[in-house]
Amino acid sequence: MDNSVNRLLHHLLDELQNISQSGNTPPNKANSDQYLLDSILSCYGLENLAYITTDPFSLESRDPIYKVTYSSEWQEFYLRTDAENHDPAVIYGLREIVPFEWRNVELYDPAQLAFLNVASDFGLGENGFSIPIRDRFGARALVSMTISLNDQKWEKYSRRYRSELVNIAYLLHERFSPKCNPSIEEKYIGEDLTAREIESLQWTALGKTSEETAIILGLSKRSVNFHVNNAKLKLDTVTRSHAVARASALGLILPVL
Amino acid sequence: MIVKINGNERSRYPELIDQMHVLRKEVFHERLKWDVEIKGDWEIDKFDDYDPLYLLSLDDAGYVRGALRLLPTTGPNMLRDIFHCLLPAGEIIESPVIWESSRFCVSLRDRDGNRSLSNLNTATAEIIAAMGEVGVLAGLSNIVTVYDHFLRRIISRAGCDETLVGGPVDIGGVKTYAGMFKVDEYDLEQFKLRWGLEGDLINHQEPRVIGAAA
Repeated sequence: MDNSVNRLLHHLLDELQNISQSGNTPPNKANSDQYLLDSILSCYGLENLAYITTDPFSLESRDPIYKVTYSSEWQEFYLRTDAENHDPAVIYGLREIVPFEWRNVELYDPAQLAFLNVASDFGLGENGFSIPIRDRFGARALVSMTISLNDQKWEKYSRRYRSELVNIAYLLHERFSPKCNPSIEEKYIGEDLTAREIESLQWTALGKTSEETAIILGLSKRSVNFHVNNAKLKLDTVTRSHAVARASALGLILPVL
Repeated sequence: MIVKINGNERSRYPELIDQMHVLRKEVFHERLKWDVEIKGDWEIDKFDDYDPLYLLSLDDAGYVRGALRLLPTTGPNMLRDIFHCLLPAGEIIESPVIWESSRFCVSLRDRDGNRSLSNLNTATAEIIAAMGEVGVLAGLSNIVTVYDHFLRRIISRAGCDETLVGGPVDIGGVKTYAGMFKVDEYDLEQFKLRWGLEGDLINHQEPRVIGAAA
């Protein structure tokens, strides 16, 4: 992989990590995904960035997954009308493998033409570029971007950044696709644990009772129980040992050897 | 002339697709005696179901005289799913910027049934150059391919540099290799010059109709 892309992406991911640890911003996956997309937008001077995946082979997950930077009005319209069924870029893109410009997609379906008319009312739809994705699980995805450049500048831009954008498209897929990233939900579990909750859990992990932990931390036994119970809830676990195991697996507390 | 056909376009070119599968049967089943799946007049396998990109070389009368299939190495592909024994144990090739080419074949005869080496050479050069153009368009660094010594000789005679990344391994009595080709715009231009290929090979098709959004 291109080193500059690596650096950029790692920088973004580090920053995401810092945000969720600082406690200033509510740690929330939706926010950090949006932050990642916005950062890529500003790094590459893009206007919009959109990720969509559908898994045509699985009946359970027929609803597509979206991550986009489009206006909320457009997103609302898109979701409400199941627009992926009429979006020519999506329909065409999921069977294509070469990155393509929207204006080169041939249109004959009236529903697709109607879709483009609406898109144009939202100020979208004319100039865009999509990168098709295929993964090892047989899933397909599409990363689309719009940028306001004239033809000549776009030509230059696209030559210079094509490989980087392809790499970024796949990194977004690795992050957003539930199959590539089965622990996608778990990863964010427990990020909202307070320092006290983590501390209490750490001593629990070392075999200390609530009384002992209370003495060590200079708290009341009731406070310790309160913190441990909160941790249990936040970790989506049912018992203390379950919570300890998960916190340890998530790297929130030091593993006990 | 090169025609590029993606998953969306397969149903729009039924004759060309038919001729391609017929040619593949002739080359892989009858001539090279590979262990391939035959359905009637066609050679066709499961990778044809994954919406690959085909590059077809047509003769002056518009008949398919050569073909090649491209698939991303991130999705289902032959090297990973079938020929993984070619690579050193535990190694895989999976990258957004590496694609796999397979089923490269060229007819040894012209339309009148006469053996024609020039047909072979022109079609080979045209397909290799078109593959390079697709590589540039897709932002690729490399294209990996699985081939036997016969195809290897054709490709190297066309003047195409490869790096051997696997093999030879005996697969069904055929000495099989995996080779990696670099995608490089300058090398591509030199290659096209050498073979007298002019202009864009894959984008010659007339500009398509733009949607009503404009």
